[in-house]
Amino acid sequence: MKNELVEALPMLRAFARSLCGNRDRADDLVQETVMRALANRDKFQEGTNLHAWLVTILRNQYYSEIRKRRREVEDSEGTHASRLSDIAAQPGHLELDDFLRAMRLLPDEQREALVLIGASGFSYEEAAEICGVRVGTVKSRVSRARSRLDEIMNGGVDLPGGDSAERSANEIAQAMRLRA
Amino acid sequence: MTNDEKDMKDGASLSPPAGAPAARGGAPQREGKEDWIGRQLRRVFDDALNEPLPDDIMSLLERIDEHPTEPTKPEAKNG
Repeated sequence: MKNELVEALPMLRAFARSLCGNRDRADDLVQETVMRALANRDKFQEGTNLHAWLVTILRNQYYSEIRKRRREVEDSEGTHASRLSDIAAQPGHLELDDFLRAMRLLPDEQREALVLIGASGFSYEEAAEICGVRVGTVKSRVSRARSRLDEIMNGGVDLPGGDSAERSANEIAQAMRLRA
Repeated sequence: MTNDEKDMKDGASLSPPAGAPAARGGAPQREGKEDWIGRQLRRVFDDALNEPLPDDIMSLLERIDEHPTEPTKPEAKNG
């Protein structure tokens, strides 16, 4: 399984980062997923889709962490802004910064569906199996995610409010000054 | 049908990973904003895809060979 696992890791990591919007957390998720996959490797059926299996483990891990954090964390606003700017910090990523912030406004399951279908190369059937829902549900999540993003990017919705939005705006302004 | 494609893709995933999203059959090419969304999605995705894996993950994998029967405890995560 090792070779297949190694081959799958870049995809897994890219999925994790797209899903959670944070480098370090994504890598933690990948590491955790690798450990779980190895511990449960006897449960993997040869000949089935290893990528889908790994993504399933990872997103389960992600959601269980979210549930845990929801009970604990109140600081999300502040750390959130810095996480996103972490990814968007490179020059030329200003547009991307807006996009990433807009992505954070989507419900997790919509963002997940969008990433599975729009970037990860999974079919609707595979995505449905990964998420444990019906194909129609995946389709509707993708479609709602897209219209929501449209709406946000067209200015119909405010980007995350209060402190974090202001901070992000300042960061954007600062970055633009640096580039000018 | 897509399963066959997927298997082939999995088997061939040593090839440049950036090709993977393009290999996906279903999504219709649409114009404008939606296409923009797709491009941004793949940009985030491909950026991560093309980065070298961090050392701690690689060293985790090294241990598979060292401990083929007991891979479950690579190293207690600090904190």
